[in-house]
Amino acid sequence: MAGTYDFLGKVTADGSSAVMTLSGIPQTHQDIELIFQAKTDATYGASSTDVTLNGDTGSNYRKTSWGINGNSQYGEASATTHFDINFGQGPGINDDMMGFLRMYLVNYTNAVDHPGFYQNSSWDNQNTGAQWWGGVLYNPSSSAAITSVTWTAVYTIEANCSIAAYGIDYS
Amino acid sequence: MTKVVEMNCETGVETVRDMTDAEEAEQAQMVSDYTDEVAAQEAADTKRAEDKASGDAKLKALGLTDDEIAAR
Repeated sequence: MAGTYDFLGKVTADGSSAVMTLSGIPQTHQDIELIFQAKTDATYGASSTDVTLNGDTGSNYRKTSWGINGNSQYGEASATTHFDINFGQGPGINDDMMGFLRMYLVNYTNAVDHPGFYQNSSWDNQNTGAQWWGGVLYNPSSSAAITSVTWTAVYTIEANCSIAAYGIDYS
Repeated sequence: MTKVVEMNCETGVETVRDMTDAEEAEQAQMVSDYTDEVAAQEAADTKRAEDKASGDAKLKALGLTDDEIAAR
């Protein structure tokens, strides 16, 4: 069977919300890729993002990452109640920032372990941008299909920011 | 009241609603955490810049040129 990469759905901000959710994700593929597009005109990386799955706010999210923000390099490991993408969406003190986050999760249907990876980039209107790469693991206490993804931001998410989901089959 | 926008892939229906109290509390905590992170980041950046300036000044006092300091 040839591999497939199919659009599953997309939620788009209307400029009034600080939380966006894409729900009812079809259980039709092996893996899922989530694409977040962010922009803000607030200072200090205002589009900073907490990503949760299935509305789950338990301590089921692990992330190991490294990256560069302006001229500084960082490495971090976390086990928390969400995937914390702070600073990755805004590299410095200047305003008018934009960012892109790509998160790929394998076995998104009916599994306990949902490992994957992410990469995100951001830019503001003066500094060099921030770049982050890392491994992620969503690990609920029992088997759970990923049916929704939620982005919670520090500030109001600008209109036309979005989360899109794509399904992947490879065998 | 801050809003939540949700799109259901199955139905294709997008809804906008007010945050629940729990969602509002979660976001308030996130803002608090983020403010702390920004403050820590600012402090680290400021210290790094101050340490570099101090180190450069000491090297210059030892006789290094600006090019030699920059080449380290």
